[in-house]
Amino acid sequence: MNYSLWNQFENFVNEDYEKCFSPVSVLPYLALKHNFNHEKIIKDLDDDYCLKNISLMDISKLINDFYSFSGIKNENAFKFIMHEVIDNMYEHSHFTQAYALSKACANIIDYCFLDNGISIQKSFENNNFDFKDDCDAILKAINGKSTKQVSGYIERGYGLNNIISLLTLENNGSVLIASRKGAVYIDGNKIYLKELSKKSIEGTLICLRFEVNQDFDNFYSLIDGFHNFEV
Amino acid sequence: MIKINLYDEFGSDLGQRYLIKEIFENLDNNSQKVIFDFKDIDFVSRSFAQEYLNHKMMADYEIEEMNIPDVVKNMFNVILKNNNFDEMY
Repeated sequence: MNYSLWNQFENFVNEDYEKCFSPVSVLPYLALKHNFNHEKIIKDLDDDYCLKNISLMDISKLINDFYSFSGIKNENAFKFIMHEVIDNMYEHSHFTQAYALSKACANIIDYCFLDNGISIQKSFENNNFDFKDDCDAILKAINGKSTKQVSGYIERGYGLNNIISLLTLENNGSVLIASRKGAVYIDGNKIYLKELSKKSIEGTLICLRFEVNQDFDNFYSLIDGFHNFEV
Repeated sequence: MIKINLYDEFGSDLGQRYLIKEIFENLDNNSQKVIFDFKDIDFVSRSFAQEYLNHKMMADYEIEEMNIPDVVKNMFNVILKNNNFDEMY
């Protein structure tokens, strides 16, 4: 697996489906089709594998299954990331179909979450949140803009920021988020934005790359607070 | 007094936000004192912890907790610190 998440995404945008994301899934119940296509995969994947058919009560079991195949050392950090991503999908996306896909090679494991929901930008628009363009909306979501800020004492909006901090700041991972015509890729201290000209992602695509041998000893320090991701 | 054993309700992992939200929604109108038992809990997500702490602070009835493991205390403390609360677990 020589491709970064960004390389694979560019291949996906250019419709070179043999070189994008994953020809093989490490999750036995989520076999990826060889020709990867966001819309096609949403349409073709077996209903049994669809998150809409998995009760929220069973999400913990699903994540435990993910962990058992991952080889990642720090179970707490892994579960933290997976629960936040899936919780966000259920809370914000209004999807009718969503899938988790994964592949592993050497000391890297990638997870890709696809949904056909309303997109980050539409969610912002529904709540009258301003954003310059589709990339800006994704960046704002990463930097804590939450449409679910409710009354109370405890602020929301840290989850996605924490996930990206955990993976990218000190643990050699990377994150790619694409929604509608925006794509944001974060790898180490580098942030890339791309407005897609040819393609629009229906819903949201979130790809997470873990380096398996990271022990995430810095788990609590990285989720303690907020990191501002700016280009 | 109502005692809620979280392991019996959800198993060892406290993951999705809506789970604890539902518990509090069912409690709101008919509770005077609630005890949450965290025995045998191995994991709590940020979403679950955030929702729990928020409901706890807004509850107009007494809430007690027992058997809180370090993994839960650590997550609660991160959230409380991020929201400028001095009180810690």
